[in-house]
Amino acid sequence: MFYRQVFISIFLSIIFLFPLYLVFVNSFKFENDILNNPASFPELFTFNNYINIFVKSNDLLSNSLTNSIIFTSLSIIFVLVLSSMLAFSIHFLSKKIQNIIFIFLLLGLILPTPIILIPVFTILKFVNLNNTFIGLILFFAAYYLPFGTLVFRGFMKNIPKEMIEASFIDGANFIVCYLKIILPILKPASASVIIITGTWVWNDFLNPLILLGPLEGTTVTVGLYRMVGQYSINFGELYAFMVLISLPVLIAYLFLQKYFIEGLLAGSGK
Amino acid sequence: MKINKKNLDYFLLISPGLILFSTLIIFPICLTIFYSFFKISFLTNNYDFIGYKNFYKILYKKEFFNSIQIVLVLSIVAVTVSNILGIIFAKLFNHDHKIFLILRILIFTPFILSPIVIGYTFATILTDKGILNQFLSIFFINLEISWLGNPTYALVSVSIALCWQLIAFCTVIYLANLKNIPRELEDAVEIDGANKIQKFRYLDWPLLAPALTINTVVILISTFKLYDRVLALTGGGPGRASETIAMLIIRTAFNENRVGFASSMSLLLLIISGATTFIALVYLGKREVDN
Repeated sequence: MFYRQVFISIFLSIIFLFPLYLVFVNSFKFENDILNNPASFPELFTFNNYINIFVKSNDLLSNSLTNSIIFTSLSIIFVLVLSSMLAFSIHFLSKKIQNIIFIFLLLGLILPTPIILIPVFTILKFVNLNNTFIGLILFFAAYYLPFGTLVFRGFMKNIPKEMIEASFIDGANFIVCYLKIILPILKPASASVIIITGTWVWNDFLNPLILLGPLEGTTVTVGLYRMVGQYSINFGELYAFMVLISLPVLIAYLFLQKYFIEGLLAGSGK
Repeated sequence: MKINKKNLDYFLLISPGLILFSTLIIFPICLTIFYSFFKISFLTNNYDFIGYKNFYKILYKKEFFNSIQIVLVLSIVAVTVSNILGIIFAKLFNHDHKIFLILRILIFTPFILSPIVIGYTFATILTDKGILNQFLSIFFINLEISWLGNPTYALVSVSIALCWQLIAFCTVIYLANLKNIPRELEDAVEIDGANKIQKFRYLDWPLLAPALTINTVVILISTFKLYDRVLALTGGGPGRASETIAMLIIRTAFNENRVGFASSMSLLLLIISGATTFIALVYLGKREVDN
């Protein structure tokens, strides 16, 4: 009974994860082998695909990797700071106002971005932040603020009210209380927010495509799209490109997977 | 103790997030409504008030209804397939042995990847001389299905790429939910002599209601904003056979420069997606309480 369950589970997982295997294995093969024998292990092992995409792409790949690293980390910092501040300070408002704010945050959480992309584009253009990383980072911070706030709020419930009040009696103001008491307690929740918003921002395609425009640098996802469009690229190189840009999030996920799932449940369950 | 909320330090904590959120999320929603009554061009920066004409045009052009239809079909397929397979995987993996621990971690990986990576992955598998057709040709002689070139099959391909990622998500949510079902309850049902189907029908299915709500809502939202996967797979084609509503809005606004017209479509999408999500939340949420 148990072995049947193990067997069926492994069999189904292999089928389910087969596309991932294909991408990974074929990124180390020569083009002929990919076409003739896509599913096998590489008989002639090669790193050519990886070298080629760096050479062929005229810095497209290296640029997009640096850009993505920079703007993903900055977006994460913005989301972390703003949403933890909001989750803490919202606590002191009346129940009615809290609920109104949360309804708006929920609206933001379920809003498909294409709906607001046109006005966001015009607003950023109005303040001269279109085609800049700052504009894109600000938009990401605003868009993922509801998620961060909800995760942090779930955690805030565990903090005893007396602890906060005691700090006020000791003469701390809101900022000191936030920095000294709230931030350290929110650390585990921060791990969830970091890994989840990090993955979403890194993987996002449409928002950078529209808000960064074609002139100002590029991100890994838009880079992939351009690479396919501009340069004659073969299967092996495409696979190598995809492995490279997915590797950072995959590694982060493997190390922090516990926080990833906890965060998803905290953000979506309440 | 009374806390004075008029302090500057309190204001400094609460305002940045709220201001940013209002300017870049809430205000744009209002602007979308405003824009939809105008004829706007990004090139000339002209704003001409034309009243309800944009909506009138939508009624007379097939493209909007075509895209809405595609998205609705995709969301029905995705909700059904991902939930069913998610439950099957979750039931299979709901075991404490180490093997299942590893499988649980692996099964989630598709959800971590960028949708555009997934689009290109399936594009290379499903293209005419791609891996799937090569594989099929081992068993059949020349079964030449154009998975991406035929209007019907193109939608099938898009659903496969979409569901693949969502199944991963659903499985993990169902697994977390299954953990909350007390062991004693399962034992009690087994002692009562319920068979597997009865056990699922009367124990698991009602108790999995919270996970079903989360999954369905997440699936609905991701189909309404579906863009990158389809772009990489079919580019919306053949013709407009797989053009999603998000692709239509972006194309109209940024390629054809009909910004007001695109905004009116955004407004309709906002209403449709809001209503659908709301109905799903209320209906499925009520189910949770009933049990």
